[in-house]
Amino acid sequence: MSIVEFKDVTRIYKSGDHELKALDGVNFSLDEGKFVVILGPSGAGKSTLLNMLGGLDSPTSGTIKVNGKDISTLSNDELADYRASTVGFVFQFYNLIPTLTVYENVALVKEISKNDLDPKKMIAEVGLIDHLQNFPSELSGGEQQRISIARALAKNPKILLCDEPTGALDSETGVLVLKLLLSMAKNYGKTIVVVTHNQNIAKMADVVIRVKNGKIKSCEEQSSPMGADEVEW
Amino acid sequence: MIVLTVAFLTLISFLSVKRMLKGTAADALRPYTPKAMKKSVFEKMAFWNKLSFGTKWNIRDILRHKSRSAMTLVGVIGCMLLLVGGLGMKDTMDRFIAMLDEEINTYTTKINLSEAADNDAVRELAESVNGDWQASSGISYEGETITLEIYQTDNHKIGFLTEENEQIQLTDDGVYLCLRLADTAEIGDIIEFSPYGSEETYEVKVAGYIRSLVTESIVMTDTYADSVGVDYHIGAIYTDKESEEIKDSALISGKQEKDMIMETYDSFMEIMNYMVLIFVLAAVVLGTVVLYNLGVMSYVERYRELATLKVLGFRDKHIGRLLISQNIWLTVIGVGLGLPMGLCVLQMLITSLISEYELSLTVGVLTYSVSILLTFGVSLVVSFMVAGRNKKIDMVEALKGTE
Repeated sequence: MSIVEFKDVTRIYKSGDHELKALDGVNFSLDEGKFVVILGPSGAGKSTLLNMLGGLDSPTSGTIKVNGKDISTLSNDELADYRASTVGFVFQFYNLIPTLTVYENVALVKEISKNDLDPKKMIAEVGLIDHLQNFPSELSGGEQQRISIARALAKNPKILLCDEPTGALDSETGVLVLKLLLSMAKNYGKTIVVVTHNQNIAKMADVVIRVKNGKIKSCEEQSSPMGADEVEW
Repeated sequence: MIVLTVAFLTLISFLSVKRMLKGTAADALRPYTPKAMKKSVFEKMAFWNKLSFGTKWNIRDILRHKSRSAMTLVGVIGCMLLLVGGLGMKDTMDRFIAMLDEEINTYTTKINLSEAADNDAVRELAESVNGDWQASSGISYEGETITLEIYQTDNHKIGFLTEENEQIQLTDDGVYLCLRLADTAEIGDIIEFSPYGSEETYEVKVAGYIRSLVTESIVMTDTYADSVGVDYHIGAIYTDKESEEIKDSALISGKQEKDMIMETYDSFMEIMNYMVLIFVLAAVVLGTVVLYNLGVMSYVERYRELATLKVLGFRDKHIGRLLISQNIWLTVIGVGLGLPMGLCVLQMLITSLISEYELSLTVGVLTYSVSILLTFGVSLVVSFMVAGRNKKIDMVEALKGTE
């Protein structure tokens, strides 16, 4: 069953007289529980795609269905609720709240999520249970990214959206974080969408979508993706 | 006031750019990176873990940006100070007029007596109109020239107040000093004075203190004056008779209705009202400008955090509430500090005016409520103005890299 469906999605940014077509008639669908990588050079529109999927932005035309629900015409508050309930984000720069402890950063999803998972359990699963009371500034980049994975999963979302999740990490840490991300997503049965320009990550994916000039260039399933251990960059 | 506001705003701008301009130009272009967090004393207390995430976030933010929070407090305190000071001054003056009108000058008409009037004839006249009388003359006391007032107040047409503003009946066993002279002698002391321009001195006992609203004076009853042998000439009779009921005679040089006398204070009170208005406007302007600037500063500093919350799925209103609640706490603290400080300033003002008027600090319920409500109102309106901006947070832009 497909959990995500993009139909003729176009996004045009206007600045003055100048028009920029970031997405131009995009069509694709994703199946539940898959690991999807969206690949493309910078400026190709892959981040715009992710933003649409994450409910951060709405299409100029076309429809986006997630979990059977059309999110392309939602109001701001409805989009906020959609983000709170359906998608979890992992960002390139972690985006933890610097004034909150590790525990609080994860536990804050309780404010917005109805079926949240136990924050302590999630932190334990990313291996940072000893750092509950630390502030993000006391952690390394890899550790911060693990906390942000715990935060994303604590909302118990349908889909995990990751924008260059290893972009700010060295390759060794990057692999570890990616491995953790994949095993957690698998354990909890989450669909995971990663946006990257890193070809190596694509080797691990079930589905690879290549984006260029605002259009889908290809969308291929990989029958035998590589394990994270085999991938290096 | 304007100077104060400008100085304040300059300080705020200075503080906000100081951090940016420290270091190299390349540093300045890099986005703001937060200081490492330290745990505050509050976190060791038991209640800390019971607080909601928003509360913790706000408390840490207040503690982390101490100068910003302190400036917010100063803005609220300043606003409160001006309101309590301005409105309280009006209350105090209103009370002054009311005391003068209702508690001290209880007569209807004051009869001024001619220089040549004989005391015995005057006493007879006073009796015929059921009036009290007063004799006043200049004396030197402790090197200063003040007024000696001798009263016969059997008919209660003139009242006397203690420092606590309670009615008091003058006794015949001593003199009463006005509050301005209270430091010069204790009750029971013997003091000396001499009539102005005379070598003669009189020794009298201090029986108490009274609030003399206008004149700097020593007051005694006619009975006590007679017993000490002070010479006096009665200058005025106070009566409840209307002025047309009182027959003109050679003794009388003029008649004044109290209402006419009180009217002379009207123009003074009018100026007072304008001053209060200016104080209130200044308070609102100061509060708005200072709080708005600091609010925007706080918003900009937390832009990335706010964007993160928004992406996670916090609604605009929810984020707005978080922003507003921080301002409300600072306002509560500011009001709590500003109120007593306002009263202190007012008391200092009154103390400095004591050589002219013995005012009694009076602050009405209305002043308290208007000051508190207006300060909160300003703070809330400004908070909403700032919180309204979170609708415009560009989540995508704010989450882009810091490189």
